[in-house]
Amino acid sequence: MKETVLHKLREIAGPRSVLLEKEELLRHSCDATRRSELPEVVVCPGNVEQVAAVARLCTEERIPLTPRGAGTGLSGGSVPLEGGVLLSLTGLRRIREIVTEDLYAVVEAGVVTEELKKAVEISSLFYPPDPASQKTCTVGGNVATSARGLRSLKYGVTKNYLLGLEIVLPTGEVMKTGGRTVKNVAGFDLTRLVCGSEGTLALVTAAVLKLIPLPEHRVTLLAGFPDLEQAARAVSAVMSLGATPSILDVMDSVSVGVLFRREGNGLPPEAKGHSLLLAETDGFREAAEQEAQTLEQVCVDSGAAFVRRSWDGEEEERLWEERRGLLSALGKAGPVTVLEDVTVPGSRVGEMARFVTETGKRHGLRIATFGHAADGNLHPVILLDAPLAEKTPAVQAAVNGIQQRALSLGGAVPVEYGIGLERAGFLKKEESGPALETMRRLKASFDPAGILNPGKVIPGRVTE
Amino acid sequence: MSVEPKFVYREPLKDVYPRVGKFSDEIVKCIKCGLCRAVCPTLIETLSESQGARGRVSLVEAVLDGRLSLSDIFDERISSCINCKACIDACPSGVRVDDIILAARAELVARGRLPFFKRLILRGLLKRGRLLPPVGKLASLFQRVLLALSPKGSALRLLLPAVRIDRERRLPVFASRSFREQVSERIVPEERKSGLRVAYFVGCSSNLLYTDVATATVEVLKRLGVEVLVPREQGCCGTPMFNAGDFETARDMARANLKAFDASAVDAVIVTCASCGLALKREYSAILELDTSGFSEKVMDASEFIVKKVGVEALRALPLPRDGENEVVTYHDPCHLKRGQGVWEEPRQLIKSLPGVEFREMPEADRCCGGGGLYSFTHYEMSMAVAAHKAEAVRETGARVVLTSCPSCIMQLRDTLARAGLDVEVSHVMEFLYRRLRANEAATVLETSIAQQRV
Repeated sequence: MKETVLHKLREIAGPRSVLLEKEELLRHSCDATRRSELPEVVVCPGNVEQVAAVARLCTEERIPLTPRGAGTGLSGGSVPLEGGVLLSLTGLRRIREIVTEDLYAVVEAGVVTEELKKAVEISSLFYPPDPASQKTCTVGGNVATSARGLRSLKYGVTKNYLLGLEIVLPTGEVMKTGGRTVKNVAGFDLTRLVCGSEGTLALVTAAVLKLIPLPEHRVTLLAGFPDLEQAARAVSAVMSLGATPSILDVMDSVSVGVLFRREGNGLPPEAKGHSLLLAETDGFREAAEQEAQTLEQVCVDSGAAFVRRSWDGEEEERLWEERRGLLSALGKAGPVTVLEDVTVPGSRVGEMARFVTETGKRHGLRIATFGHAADGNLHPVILLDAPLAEKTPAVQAAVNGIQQRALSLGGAVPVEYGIGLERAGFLKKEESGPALETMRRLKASFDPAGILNPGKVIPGRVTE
Repeated sequence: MSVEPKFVYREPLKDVYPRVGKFSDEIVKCIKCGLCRAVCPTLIETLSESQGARGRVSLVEAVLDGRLSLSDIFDERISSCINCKACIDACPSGVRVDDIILAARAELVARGRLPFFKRLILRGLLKRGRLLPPVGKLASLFQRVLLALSPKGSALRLLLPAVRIDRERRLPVFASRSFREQVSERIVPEERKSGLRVAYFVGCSSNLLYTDVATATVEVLKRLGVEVLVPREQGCCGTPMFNAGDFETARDMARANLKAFDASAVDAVIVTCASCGLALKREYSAILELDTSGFSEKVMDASEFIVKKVGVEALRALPLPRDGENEVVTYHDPCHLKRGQGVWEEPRQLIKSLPGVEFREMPEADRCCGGGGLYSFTHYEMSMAVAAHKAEAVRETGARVVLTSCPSCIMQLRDTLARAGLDVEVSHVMEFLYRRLRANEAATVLETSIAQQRV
């Protein structure tokens, strides 16, 4: 990178916020995927004006610019594919306002999701999106990927809580979208267009987030089944009853086995060897208890080997911690893991679960599967104990088989972690020609120089 | 989704870096999910990716596969870890970040990267402390000269110019006689009512700086009817050495200590320092690869010993003050006791068993205080930043006494709480027990003498 550019960056953000050391570049080269690419420089702005100035400079100089939050993404979205400037937004960490009477908060991009949740809980308010990495991921990253979480079944995803955004265009303009009220219909809905665009259209610096009242009571329920298909069918049964649990998840016995490999894990001993259904009901005390009772009955009727509904002390929290840490724990089970992400209509999730199990057997692969089965979402994770190269044909066949099956059951393929880099080639399969072309034109109108997070979401120069 | 290899697999350079090479399987377990970001105290203070557990592991990984050299910055990032082990608790894959970081420090030391200041302390002062018992005396003499010059004198202050720390820092004073010089090698209680015998591993801090902790421990055990051996040939546990990556010196210390203790002759080897305890229990074998079978199983924190072997009932049977105003206390978990050894209930059980004491849990009691032994000297600014959260937590409880089980935490808490303007006493659990016991004894003596006068 030219010395003149570095000089300007230092003028904008201050010399201490411009990092060139190999160690810093390495540390900002990847997220929670194993893809990595070194940026040429890391810039850590402290305010919106600095973000805008960096963006303007990058457009002028045609330098690739990749935004990054906590780097916990699972799609390679923050990997600086073409080098250039890596913009670390964790320094924008102010909760600007919490307006309790109007139920919203104005939050900067670098605020950690759980910090926001805790801050609003003091006022008995609730910010529902709870991605598994909520203890450390940032609001900016949540907006960029429209992150969801365990409670998205009842409460929806990040997109559903966005009233407005403060964004910086790649050309350096600071812009506000949306507003501070739920109804806001002036012009196009740019807020929801930018949300989920993974830093390819604009840089999110702050968000106006809708809050709701904190539920009075929560009940956790855990049921064990002989196999994943049965657990998944129990989920479909719950949903067809018209119940609205806040969480309804499954994990198979392979996943449970991996969790039990860690001493002192938070699962109760009876869970061992079972495929699990994990649920939470919430609301007013009696309603939540009654709903949990209904769920328990459905589980028993669906062939559950055990159902547990009462907990001591921190047991519940530890159970959910295990669930949130599952994906990372699976990483330990083999040096290489291939994470898939498929969704089928809720009524077909049992079928999909069985197909995944069979696929593993057919190709001689260990597959651990978990997911938010209630909306048909499953994450089959292929656990490899050998370098990927040796198993490539089997993995390729299994992945293709699973994806084809999901599509033929009326499902979709990349649903949760974003398209990012890992799945950029996939848009071509999912989206028809005109849709892709429209996206390309949109991208060009936001980012005429094409500097923003190049190579992501829309297949571009790199992946083609 | 394409299934081409997502990253270039590089054969680790195990021959070049044998110390970290040993951990290559452990390093691979880290999938960089970043959950440790939420708990790593240095990342929380700096918000810098390379100052967190995930960052440090990936830097070591980069060195091991040849993408990075052992640079000054690498050295700095690896040194700035406090070894609080919070990341290990948070890690869903159970990656032993602590072992990986110590191994990386060993690689640095093997290449001559042990700063003069640390070498002086580790290989000069602490190591020789065992061979030259009067080291405390010398330090104390120095100190008295210094005391004459400054009212805030402590020989540790001599280090201040070397490490550029605050002149206002509150530091302990060297004892004029080390604890081990003060006591006999075998202390037999008047009544051996417990039938138990322990060997006491005193540790440098309790031997040279906080001799009250050691005295209190022996006195409490004596009253509980426990025989205490204080083996002469024991020395520094070696933690400061292996923590700095100097495994060789640490091994010398460990071997000497293993030789000094005949664990088969006692019911337990007790410690009053969380880090010493961790070294004896785990690190001698895990880090230094020594055979400690028959020894490490017997190592117990003093509070753990009293709860598990003597029983709190025996403690409650002693004359403890029962009247008067309740004393409000809280407890800080030393990292190396709670996460290091899984001991956190026992000290609380002890405290709660005392009449006239009200226990109040502080928020995040097991959050690192930033002390970390020598860390607070080499990284004072970071250390203080980490400590600030602790001061807030203590303030919230309204407790008048903060108890803990590690001299390093005591040093840090006294300094940081005084700076935060909190007027609280910071004591070791054993000191507190002894103080409560003595309060009643003193009262009893007084009453007796008054009664006698009346007669």
